[in-house]
Amino acid sequence: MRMRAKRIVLGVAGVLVLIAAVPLVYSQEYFLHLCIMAMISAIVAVGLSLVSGYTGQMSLGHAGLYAVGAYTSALLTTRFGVSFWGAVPAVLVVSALAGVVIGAPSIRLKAGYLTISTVAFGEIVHQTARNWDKVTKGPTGIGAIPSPELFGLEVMTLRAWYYFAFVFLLIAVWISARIVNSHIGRALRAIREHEPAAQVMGINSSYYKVLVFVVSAVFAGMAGALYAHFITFIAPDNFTLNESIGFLVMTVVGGIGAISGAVFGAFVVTIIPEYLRAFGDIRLVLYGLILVLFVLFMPKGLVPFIAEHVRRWTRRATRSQASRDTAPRR
Amino acid sequence: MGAFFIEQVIQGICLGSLYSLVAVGLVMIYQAVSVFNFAHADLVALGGIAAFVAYRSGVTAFVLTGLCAFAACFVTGMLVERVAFRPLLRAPGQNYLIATIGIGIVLRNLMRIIFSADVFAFPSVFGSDPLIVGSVLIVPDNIAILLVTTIAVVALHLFFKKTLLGKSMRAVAQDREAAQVMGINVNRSISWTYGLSAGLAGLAGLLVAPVFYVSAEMGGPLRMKAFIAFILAGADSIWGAIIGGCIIGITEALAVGFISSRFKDVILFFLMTLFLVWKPGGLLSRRNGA
Repeated sequence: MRMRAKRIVLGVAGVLVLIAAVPLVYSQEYFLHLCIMAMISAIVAVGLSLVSGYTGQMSLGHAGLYAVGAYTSALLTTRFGVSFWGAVPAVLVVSALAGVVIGAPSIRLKAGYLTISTVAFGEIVHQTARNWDKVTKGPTGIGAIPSPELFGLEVMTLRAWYYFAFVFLLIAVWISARIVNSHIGRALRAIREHEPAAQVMGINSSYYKVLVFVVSAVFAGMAGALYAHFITFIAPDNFTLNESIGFLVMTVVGGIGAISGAVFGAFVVTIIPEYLRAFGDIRLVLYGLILVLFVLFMPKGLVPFIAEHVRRWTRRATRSQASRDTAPRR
Repeated sequence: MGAFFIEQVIQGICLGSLYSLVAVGLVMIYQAVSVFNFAHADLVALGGIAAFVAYRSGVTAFVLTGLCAFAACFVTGMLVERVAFRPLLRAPGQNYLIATIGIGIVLRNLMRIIFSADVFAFPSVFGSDPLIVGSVLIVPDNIAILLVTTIAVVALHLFFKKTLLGKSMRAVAQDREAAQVMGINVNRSISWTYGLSAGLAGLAGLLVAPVFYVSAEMGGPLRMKAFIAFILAGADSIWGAIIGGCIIGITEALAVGFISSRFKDVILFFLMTLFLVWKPGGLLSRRNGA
């Protein structure tokens, strides 16, 4: 067990060093831009994966929560001159409230209804952003969103943003890992395996389900704020059902319920369509086909698929090693 | 004022019956496989495009263009079910859902490539002279919409009640395993469900073409409305979908006429949220509250 923990820590550290080294080795601007977008999306996907992995419900409204975070931060910084760091607490509180508002009523409804009411929520946010001209400037959107400052320096360059987003992603992953391994995670697993039994054991299932939904809402809101400050311009059409679908696709492609899966899925889903651009008009057709092929042939997602194959491969290697060792000598 | 109100209500019922037509297809698929079909709106567009192509190549009789739209979607629906969805029948729900999203993207973009990304006007089959009843004006397109949806719904009802295939589809919708034990060919039933549901979407595409114009994206506005109708129906009641569609159409028309066209979608989603809390089982369920 100790061995295993040590190996995991080593593996994680290795991956971290590798990711941190990317901009030093390969600093093509467009590629870095994509990586930053993937990291920001990964923050949403990690939270979403907690919801789908542990409550068995899917959310198709996370673009709405993403928009709530983005607009809160953008309005506070452009209208009221608040700094990025001043806006962060507001973003966290507002997105948590939004999470309670959709999470609390819908999680208690019959299975699958969370998906449906989240679609409604996402669309209400989108339509409000489009039509509430006085505050959101309607379809024209909000521009000139300032860059965040860190130790007196502005986070402006792509490299700086790469590390900036990376740190936020790390925090999100760390919080999720803590939740999964805490009493909350255990309660959620108990609920997932057998809800009535969990309730009999004194677990308040509604409370835990809403709690994990609120956590994912906060992640989405924070990611939205990062997005707003990174792109420096937001408009309502950046936050439609298609974006919500994109976030869900990330978690499913990577492997639902696994934090690493969500991160991996975010990178795959952000980067693949861009590299399909070489195919011109049919790139979206290919993208759709890839999605279908993914769920057909890797139903558990990319990360479990790879893990399974690596495990099988190493087992076969050790077995053949063992058979060679025990082979009778002439 | 009175006449305007009645006009808006009639307009609402006609639009609403279009939403119903799309929502009924969604409900049929939900009953059979418990998944919301995200590719459904793209089948509406396919129907519109098929009707347009047929019309342009000389098939101008309304019934024949309708048949073309229906047939194109029917075949596509069955094909897609066989190739992409059938292997996922026992997979987790989210995988099936993603597959419908993927198929939707494929269909939409194939149509955009083959048919071109432009928007085409579709001539109204019944002319544009409004019918005047008392002081109320009725657009002839609306009469066509009402007529076709009524015929489609009655035909569907008879199909479900009278034919063996329709009965087997209802059995599969109620309990797939029990139906299989009773010797019903489940795969065939689901395949037909997809075909018919897509065919209805095709008819909706034909009817909506003169209103929204023909393009690969024309299903978009209908998707959300049909989605709300689907929720109002509680996801699994065909009559609920029909009534739900009409409620949405009327609400929309009245909101446009008397409040503001800009917030009509917000009003609709608010209505939907109210329904989710008040009648989570759908319009026709007996259960109130959560």
